[in-house]
Amino acid sequence: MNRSQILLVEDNPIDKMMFERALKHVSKDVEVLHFESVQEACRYVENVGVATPRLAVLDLRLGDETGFDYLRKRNQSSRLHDVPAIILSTSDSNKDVKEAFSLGAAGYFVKPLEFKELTELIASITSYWDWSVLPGDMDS
Amino acid sequence: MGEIWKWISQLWDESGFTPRWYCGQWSEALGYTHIVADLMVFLAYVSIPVALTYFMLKRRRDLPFGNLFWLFSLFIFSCGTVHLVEAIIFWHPVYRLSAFTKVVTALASWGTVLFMIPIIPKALALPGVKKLNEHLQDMTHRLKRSNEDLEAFTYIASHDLKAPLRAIGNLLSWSKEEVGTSLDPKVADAIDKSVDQVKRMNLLIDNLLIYARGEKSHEPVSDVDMAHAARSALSMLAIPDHFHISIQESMPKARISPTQVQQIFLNFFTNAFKYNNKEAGSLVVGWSEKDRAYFVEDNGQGVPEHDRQRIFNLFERGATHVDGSGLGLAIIRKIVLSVGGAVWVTMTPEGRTRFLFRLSRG
Repeated sequence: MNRSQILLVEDNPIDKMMFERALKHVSKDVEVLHFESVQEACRYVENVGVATPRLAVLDLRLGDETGFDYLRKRNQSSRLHDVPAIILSTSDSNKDVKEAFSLGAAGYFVKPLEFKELTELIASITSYWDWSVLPGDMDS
Repeated sequence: MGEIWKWISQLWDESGFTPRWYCGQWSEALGYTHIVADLMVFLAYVSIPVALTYFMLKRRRDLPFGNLFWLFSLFIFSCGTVHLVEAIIFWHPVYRLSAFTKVVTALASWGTVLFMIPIIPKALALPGVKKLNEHLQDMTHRLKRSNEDLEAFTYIASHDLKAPLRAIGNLLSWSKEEVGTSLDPKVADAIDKSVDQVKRMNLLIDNLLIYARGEKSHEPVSDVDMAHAARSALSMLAIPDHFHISIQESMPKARISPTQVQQIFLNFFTNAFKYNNKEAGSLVVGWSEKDRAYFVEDNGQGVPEHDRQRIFNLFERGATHVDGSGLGLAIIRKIVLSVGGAVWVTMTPEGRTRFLFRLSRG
């Protein structure tokens, strides 16, 4: 596993830019692997071999696809399954939160309005997953 | 009066006739066949108007052509009495009474016929129950679809309205952070104010969505303990330090979805906290037996007479400098109306503002 990579599935360019900038504030060592579509993101993780990213951050509404589609594919593929996935979305609807967790999301976060809050959120997310032991950690 | 009485008593006069048993060669079997058959017809003919009358009075006051039903009842009933008299004549030859019942029957039957003729085309034009049901199903189906459309619309609108707003908020606050302390304080202040406006707009969108969904709830209705609901709504809010809150325990339960009650209390409480200008705020939640309504009462700035209707409208707000979206009371009113209830505001003799609401018809 590549502990210094975070997979981001996001189709809004400004949200992507803000995510990258906020992450840079938190840590210079983490690299963002950005994909605009669920399909591309899944294909990457399936084929990258052992160097999978340590975390997948998913937007919910992605054009024709949704973050839920990623979660569904993740439930059917052992390689995708080893990468924990969290939702970072505009929606705070209870329906979406419920569905995300029922499909196995490891967390659900609503995109904040201010850059400072976004930085704080990303700081806590990265630190949580830094401390986490993940599948594949002990093999290396 | 005496004349009428005399005439009526003449109807029972049997003079000049012999009972039917003694007219001709009756076998018992033939005689009783007549009698039993006549009595059965009588009973059947009487039961029809009785049933119709019951139906008219109890069930269907909206039945079209009501007068025809009454006339028809009279017609059938008089037909029945003709048969009853026929049976009586075997023992008491009341041929005068028999003639009277036959005249009444003749008049009632012709009355019914004459009354019916002009009605028939109108009756034919009435849609049948089956057709009405189909129409109703069609309407229900359309309503359901339009509700689903609205739900999808609000969901997408919320996302598409909030995404650019968040981009503005993020970019502005990032710019301020990026330039840091070298930023002109006036520019920094302008950025802060812009971000505040973005937050307000975001709140407005959230509240509009709550308003749009107000009458709908995916949650089933249950018997809600109102004191418990009020406390649970309070636990979601930051209660100002100077506020004293009292909740009556013995309120009647309400049949409604718990989320809807929560929305009602949340909006009332937020307003009470926001619009209080006293040193010590006070809030009471309870039940008014006199009004048959729940109430939320506070010692806030009050609502002047001319504003008491207006404040429940969408985007309307009382004269105030306090920030708000103007949606709180509109959300409450929408929920309350959707369950057939009502909401209104009064001032108590002590000058406290009392919002009253009912969660059912009546």
